[in-house]
Amino acid sequence: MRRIVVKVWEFPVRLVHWTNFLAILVLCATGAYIHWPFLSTPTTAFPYVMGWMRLAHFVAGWALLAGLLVRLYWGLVGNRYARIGTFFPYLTRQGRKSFLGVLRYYALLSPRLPPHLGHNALALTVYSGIFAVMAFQVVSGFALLGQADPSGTTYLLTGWIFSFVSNGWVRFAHYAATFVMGAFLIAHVYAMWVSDLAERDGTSGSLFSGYKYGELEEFEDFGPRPR
Amino acid sequence: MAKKIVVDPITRIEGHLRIEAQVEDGVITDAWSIGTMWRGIEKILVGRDPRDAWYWTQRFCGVCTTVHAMASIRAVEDAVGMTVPLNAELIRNLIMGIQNVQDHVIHFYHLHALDWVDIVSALSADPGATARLAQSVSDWPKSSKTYFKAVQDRVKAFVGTKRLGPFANAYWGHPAYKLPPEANLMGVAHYLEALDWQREVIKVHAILGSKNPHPQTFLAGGISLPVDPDAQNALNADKIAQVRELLVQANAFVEKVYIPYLLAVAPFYLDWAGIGGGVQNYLTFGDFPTAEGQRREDYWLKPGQVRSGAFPDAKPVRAEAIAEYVTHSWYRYAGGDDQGLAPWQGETEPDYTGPKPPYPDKFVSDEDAKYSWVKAPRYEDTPFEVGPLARMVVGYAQGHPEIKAVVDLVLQKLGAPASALFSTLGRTAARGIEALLLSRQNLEWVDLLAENLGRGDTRIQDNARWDPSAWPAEAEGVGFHEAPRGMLSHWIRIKNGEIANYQAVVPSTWNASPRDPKGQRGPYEQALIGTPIADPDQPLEILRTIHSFDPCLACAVH
Amino acid sequence: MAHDPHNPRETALEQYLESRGVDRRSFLKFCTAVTATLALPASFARKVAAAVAADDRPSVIWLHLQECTGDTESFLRASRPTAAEVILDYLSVDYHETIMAAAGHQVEEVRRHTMEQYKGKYIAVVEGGIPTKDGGVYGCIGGHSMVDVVTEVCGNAAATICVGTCSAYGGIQAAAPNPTGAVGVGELLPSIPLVNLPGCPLNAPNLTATIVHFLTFGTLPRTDSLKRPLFAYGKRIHDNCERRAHFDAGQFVERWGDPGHRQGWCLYKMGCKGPATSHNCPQVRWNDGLGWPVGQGHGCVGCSEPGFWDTMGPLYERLPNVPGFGVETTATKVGLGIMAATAAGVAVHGVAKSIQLRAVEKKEGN
Ligand code: HEM
Ligand code: HEM
Ligand code: NFV
Ligand code: SF4
Ligand code: SF4
Ligand code: F3S
Ligand SMILES: [Mg+2]
Repeated sequence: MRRIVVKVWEFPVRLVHWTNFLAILVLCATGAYIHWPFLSTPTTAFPYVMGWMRLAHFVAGWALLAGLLVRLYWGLVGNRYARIGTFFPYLTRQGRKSFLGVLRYYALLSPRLPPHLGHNALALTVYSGIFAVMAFQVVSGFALLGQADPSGTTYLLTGWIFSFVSNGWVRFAHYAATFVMGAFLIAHVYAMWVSDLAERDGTSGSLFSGYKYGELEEFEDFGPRPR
Repeated sequence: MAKKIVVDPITRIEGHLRIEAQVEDGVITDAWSIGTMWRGIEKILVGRDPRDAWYWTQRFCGVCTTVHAMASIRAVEDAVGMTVPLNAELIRNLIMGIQNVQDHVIHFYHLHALDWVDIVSALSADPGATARLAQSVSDWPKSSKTYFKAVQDRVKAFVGTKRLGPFANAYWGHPAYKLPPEANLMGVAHYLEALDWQREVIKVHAILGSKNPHPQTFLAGGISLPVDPDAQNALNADKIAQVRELLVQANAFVEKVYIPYLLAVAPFYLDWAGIGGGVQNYLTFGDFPTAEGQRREDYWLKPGQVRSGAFPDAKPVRAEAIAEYVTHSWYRYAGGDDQGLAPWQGETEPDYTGPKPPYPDKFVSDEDAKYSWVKAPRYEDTPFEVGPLARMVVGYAQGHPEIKAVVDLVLQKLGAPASALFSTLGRTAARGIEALLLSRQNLEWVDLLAENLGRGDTRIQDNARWDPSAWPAEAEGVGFHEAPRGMLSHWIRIKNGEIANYQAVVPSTWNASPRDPKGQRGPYEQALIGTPIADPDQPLEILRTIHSFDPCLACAVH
Repeated sequence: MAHDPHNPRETALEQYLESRGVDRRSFLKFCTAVTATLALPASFARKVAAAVAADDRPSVIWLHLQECTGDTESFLRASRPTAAEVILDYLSVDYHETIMAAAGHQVEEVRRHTMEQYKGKYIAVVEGGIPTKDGGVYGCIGGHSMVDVVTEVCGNAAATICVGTCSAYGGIQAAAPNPTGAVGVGELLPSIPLVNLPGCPLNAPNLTATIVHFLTFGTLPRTDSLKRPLFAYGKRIHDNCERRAHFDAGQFVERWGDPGHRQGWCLYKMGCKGPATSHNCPQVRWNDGLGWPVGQGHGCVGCSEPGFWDTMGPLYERLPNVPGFGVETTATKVGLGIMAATAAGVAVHGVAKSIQLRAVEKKEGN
């Protein structure tokens, strides 16, 4: 068996992952304050708490939007592990097989993950879901923001939502999605830990270094072929 | 020769009322009161936050706006044991008090007056003579010849356009109109003046309640208007002065315009003191607390009932004696339609069996046993009338000092016995008397409020019981309120912080009710019997008696 | 605005006003006020004046459907112009059940006659929702279902003005479970010219300004996607609120009557729905500017928003409840529950996985 080291995550993928992570931390923290302003009544020394919280929320919101756009672009031009197509493993036979394999793995029915070099099939599916949630947060967030100026560009792009969904529900959904992010984060970090422990393939470090390693025979990849 | 007639829509009321009547030899011998619209709000309330109920139920009616909010918050307070601070009680009194006064004046001039006042006849009045007539009954500064001339000119110009708008196709010149032209012109002038007055005095609601209609400072457990003599954003001395000023203005109009006019025209219609008495049982549950944690028996208006046969003997009342029937209403009860349900056990399940619309040429009362969306509330299985007349009759019988003094004065001026109160005219007079008393009482309450603020009390809410986690898992409560049209009660059952059942038994439900399983008619129906009809095609007399109750069908059905 | 005695139109106006007993100065003051409400340049005041004074007063049919008459009452509180002026001088209010002197057949006749004589020219004003369920039996007038009445009256009108949230979007009776199938006029008759003036009730100046706009320009004012005029619903409460500085500063009322409440701090934590509501309450306020909900210490409940009855409640919570569960079920509870469940699931899985790994490793002989 040949031990190999492969560069899977190119720089833009890593950069986006960690800027998104930071942005989301800020968004969750400031979002929590916006939802229920818990800081005790400020004195005149610090008189603009909600204003700052909202500003931080919006700056992080822009960062998240930028990250998503970069990642979307890289999904078109990046390596085989970054391609948009790879996020829908259940569309190919091999992918479905792999998907079931991961499910068996998490159900403790099989001790090892099916071979993979990029994300595993279940992870890909969950990531596409969490990308969708991030996109939803961006759209709903900018829609809420745009209301302050119904003659502005933001409102032009997002205001149509309110002819279909009441304002109250958009806020509700924006708030509820925060918990989806939280639950994802718990499961996501756990998955890294398990993968490190059981697979010893360097998953958790890979998003810093870009490299993964393992036995070559294990890697029968699915998804679009590389250029 | 018996003939059935129908009046639908009844206009100059709130809501959708249809009256069918049997006329024999120019007199009504039977009648059916028919509510033709249902909204289903009692059903909608189930599952919602009890603290929100006031907002939704207030939308039963925008004419007696505030009253359902009051009954609703009292029901929640009763259920979960909240204590309302004195400031909140007094602010509520002022909101209710001015509502009552304003509603009564609007009713008299804008909804009822045209049953008695002939606008067309006013055109031929002599403005000078009108001014003399007006000055002979009151020293209201506006009553000059030029004033009445200007009003008359304005009406002439309007009539000259040949487009009479809301006054078109009416019963002008009907033989039942009895006033001389000058009294008619005076009525028309007041009609216009009251339109301006009502807009001004109700500004009390804007200051204390944020807006009118549908004030928005009600809270279960208090009021959301902060009070603090030393704060810019709270009720302070300046705002109290503003309120007081408006209350003085309200009182002046009632003392110097409404009541003198009522007394001036009543003698022309004294025959109506013998018509329209109806069921002649009167019920009130009392209102207007003046101290914190007061018992209802000590309120400014006290609970009681009078049956005309036993007048002037007033008896105490009990909430458990109230039940609603649907034998003749378009609802079904799970346990059978002939039983009476106490409101806490009440059900509102629609069961329409009437004619399929369109039915312009049918009589709804012919169709079936059920004929109205109004339920039939009964007290000890007996139909009761509620309203200003009920309150004045009960107060009179109880010897309520303020009520007794004014009622006696009015009876003496008209040279009528107390029994004349049990009539169409009596109902209309009682409303005026009540407006007078409340417009005076408002001034007392605003002073009480100022006094209490001066003592440094800034409490407005029972915060300890605001959060539903402080409530029992299950509770039931009832809130009573004396609304302009009569005794109102809201009944709530709360389970795990949610509304499990909500029932409103509304003044116009009592008065507009159809028959009950014993066949006893509701107050409107009973009052119409014996009403003369000069021309069955021009049902002016029906309007008189029905309007004397001040119907509100959105309230009645909800 | 200078008076021009040589302008024939103005002279006619003069005579007209005289015949109505209206003095010119107060009339022009009114026109200027209306011009300002509509945010038009001052030069329009003259155009407004001429339009409202022309003696071809438009005919109005005002319908009452599933309603509480709150919008009629609100209209009675109008002051620029007053209800009396509108009824007697500016419009010919030919059908309005709350004020008509006649009743029964006589008013049914007036309605039919008005619809025929002014077909395609009259203004329909609608107050109240329309019960559509079970063949319309939940609301009838003169033996006709409200569905039929509104279809006929609005279908033949030059324009329809929906006053209040009930006629605009169905209102309180359309709240879940909507027992009568109540809808707004726009939903029943999607293709008629229509403007919505929601609010519970409608605020009077928004109606008078809309009417005057129609009289002046012959068109309805520009509206948003919910058919609400931009001049009255173009901005959120929250963005015009007098308490906004306290919001930004993080100063919130925590309990009714606390010092912050008395100092006019922000009502966000008491459930204010100003951030989700478009309405001009903070500027025009109510009853000649004397009050408005937030000003008097209670949160906005979003009464001018479609569906407010189901999306703005509970009134004293910031966000709606999770649909289908009880009032106690907030998004926070459900969300924290999901996160806790995930954490618990992960912990259990972690333990199981370690045991499995150990077993596998033992088998593999490490
Ligand atoms: C992971 C992403 C995000 C999370 C977790 C998040 C979280 C939150 C939370 C919890 C709230 C409070 C909701 C409430 O109770 O009303 C909120 C409000 C808001 N968020 Fe986000 N948000 C995210 C992304 C965004 C983005 C991308 C924008 C776009 C600029 C945005 C704009 C807003 C706005 C405008 C509000 C309402 C603030 C106000 O009206 O004062 N959010 N967010
Ligand atoms: C809100 C926080 C986070 C979000 C939304 C998030 C989201 C994602 C997404 C979408 C991917 C796929 C990357 C791509 O293909 O572009 C990913 C991969 C990854 N994330 Fe995160 N992540 C978060 C936090 C973290 C944290 C805290 C860690 C470190 C412990 C982490 C470690 C990784 C790793 C190692 C991968 C690659 C794993 C694999 O091969 O499947 N993430 N994450
Ligand atoms: N409650 C109530 Fe009512 C009734 N009936 C009251 O005065 O009118 Ni709309
Ligand atoms: S919108 Fe409000 S005020 Fe108007 S009819 Fe409906 S409930 Fe009444
Ligand atoms: S009171 Fe309401 S509308 Fe005003 S700033 Fe606070 S949240 Fe916004
Ligand atoms: S509740 Fe309605 S009245 Fe104005 S402040 Fe809110 S829109
Ligand atoms: Mg009821």
